[in-house]
Amino acid sequence: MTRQRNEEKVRAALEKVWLNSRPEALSGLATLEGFLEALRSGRTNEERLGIALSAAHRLSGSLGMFGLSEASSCAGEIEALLCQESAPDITVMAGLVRRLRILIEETQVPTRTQDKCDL
Amino acid sequence: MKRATEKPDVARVLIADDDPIVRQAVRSILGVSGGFQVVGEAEDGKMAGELVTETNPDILLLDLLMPNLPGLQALRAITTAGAEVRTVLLCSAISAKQILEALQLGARGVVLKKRVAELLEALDAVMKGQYWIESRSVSNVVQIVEQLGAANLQPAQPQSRFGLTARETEIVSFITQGYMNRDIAKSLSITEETVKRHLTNIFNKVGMSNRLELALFAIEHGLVRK
Repeated sequence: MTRQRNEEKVRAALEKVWLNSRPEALSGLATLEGFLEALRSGRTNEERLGIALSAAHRLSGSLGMFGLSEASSCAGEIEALLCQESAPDITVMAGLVRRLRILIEETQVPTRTQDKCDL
Repeated sequence: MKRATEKPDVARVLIADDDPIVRQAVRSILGVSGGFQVVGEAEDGKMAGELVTETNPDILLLDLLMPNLPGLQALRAITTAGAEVRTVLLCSAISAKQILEALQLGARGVVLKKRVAELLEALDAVMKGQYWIESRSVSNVVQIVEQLGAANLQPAQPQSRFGLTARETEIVSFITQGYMNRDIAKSLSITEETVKRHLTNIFNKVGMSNRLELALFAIEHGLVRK
């Protein structure tokens, strides 16, 4: 099997997984939106922060796998924001979460070839 | 955690990632090729170590950031336990420093999740005894170090042979080229057991504990030529 054909098959397989996993990705996004609401109302705690951080981390990894590189980067930014020692900036967090929803919702079949870049 | 029964002639893969979506995606990708069989899934680093012992996989696909035991710590534990699994990191992001650390701990490759389309090619390369770094196959540890711009490992004039015999130096040279024990044995027409015995002696003489440490040490001290 040639490399190109292999990669085409891999992309096709990933598209199927993405279609099944999209609700789970949206659920992760809902977790972040819930955390944002808690942040706004001053109801955050370590446990909620940990759950939100885990959701952001997972989204960053899995969205990247499905070719949603911009959404993956956005989730990565949220993850970085939640990792800071100080409380996350609500305005920045809200902007990132809103952007993440748009990026996920607007993409139906996201798996595409990406340009190679350095680590 | 899921397990599967063994099939002959396929590489047995253990997937360790806390995200079920990632595990499912990897499973699907491996299903594209007939050359891989998933023998287990671990959702944290501790479970990864346990399943390596239980399932004895050919390949461990390991995420860096996982609950309980982070990837590199899990890798350290697995290496310390003496498992001969070929570990490939499958992660969102990784620094050059972390790559070197992973290699020192025995990892054979790194695949970024956003480059997961190259996973099959990477695993094929690793199964052939090569390394997979920065989206390509590399057979020589020296190349990896150079690519990563790592360390101040300028080859030095050999000041000491560290008590190594000619045969041991020869084996060190093979190690820096990424050879597995069976390949070294074949090249030198000796048994794999003899290679292991030589390696034990070499590790004792130079004070290193794994192949990559040994390779880096050899380069640093001019024991081998590029």
